[in-house]
Amino acid sequence: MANRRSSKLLLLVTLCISSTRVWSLWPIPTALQTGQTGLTLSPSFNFDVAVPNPPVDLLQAVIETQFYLENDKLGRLVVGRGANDSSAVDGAKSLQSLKLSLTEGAEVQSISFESVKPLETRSEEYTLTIPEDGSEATLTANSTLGLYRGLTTFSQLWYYYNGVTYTIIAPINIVDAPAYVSMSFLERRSEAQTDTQM
Amino acid sequence: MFICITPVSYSFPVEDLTRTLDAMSWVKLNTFHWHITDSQSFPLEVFEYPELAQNGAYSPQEVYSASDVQYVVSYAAAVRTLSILP
Repeated sequence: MANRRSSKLLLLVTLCISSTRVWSLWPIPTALQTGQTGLTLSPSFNFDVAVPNPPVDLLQAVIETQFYLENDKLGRLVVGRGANDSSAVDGAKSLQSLKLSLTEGAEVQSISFESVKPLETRSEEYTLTIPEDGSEATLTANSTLGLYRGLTTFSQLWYYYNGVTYTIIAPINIVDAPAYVSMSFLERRSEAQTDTQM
Repeated sequence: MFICITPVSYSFPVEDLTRTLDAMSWVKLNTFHWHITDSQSFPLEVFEYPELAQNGAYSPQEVYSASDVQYVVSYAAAVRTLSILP
C-alpha cells in the first residue's frame, strides 16, 4: 500500500515537473502555463493580423514565422524523435490560426521604429494564449516589437514528426517580458589593453 | 540584452554579422554592440578620413563600407529587432 502511494506521488511529481518544462524556449517566459494535451498545427494554418494598417516589417515578420513553422521540422530530442508522441497527437485538435493584435489604445509603429527606442522605453512584453481545443490562438502586445517577440516564442513551441507539426503541452498560456533591460555577452579576442569604444 | 562583437582583431564578413543577428533574435537579445574600431585595426571606412581604413584594415577587402554599416543597422532594426551600439 505504501509502495503504491509512493509511486502515485512519484507520478504526480513527474507530471508536475514535466508539465512546467518547455525545453525549446529560451529565455524562459516570465509566466508560462502548459497543459498535457496534444495539438497539431493545421496544414492551412494562418496568421490573422488584426492590427490596423500593419507596418511592412510586421507583415515580413509574420511571413518569416510562417516559413520557420513550415521548414524548421524540429524533432523532439527523445528516443524515436517523437514517434512515441503519436498517442497524444492522433485525434488531437488542429490549430487553424493565430490572431495578432495590439492592446487598446496602443500606437501602431513599425518594428524597426520600436526596436531602436531607448532601452527603458522599449515595450517587448506580450501575452500568448493557445487553447487546446483548436480555437483561435491569440497574441497581444503593447507594440509591434512585443508582437515580434511573441511570434518568436510561438515559432519555438512546435515539434515535427512524420509530416505533422504538433505540441503535446496544450493549452499554453504565456505572459512574457524581458527579465533584464540589458544583459551582456562580450566576445573579444587577443586584446589585453583598455577598451576604446567609439 | 546585448552581444558585443569585436572585429578589430580579426575581421567578420557582413554575412557573419547578419547571421549572428538572426541567432540573437531567436533568443530575444535586443542590443548588438559593434566594437568596430580599435588600435589593432580600423576596418571602418570613414568618408572624411579614408586613410584610416586604408592603413588600418588588415586588407583592402576586409573593410566595412558606409553602405555595409547602413545595411547591418537596418537589417538589425527592421528584420531582427535589435538596435546597434557602436
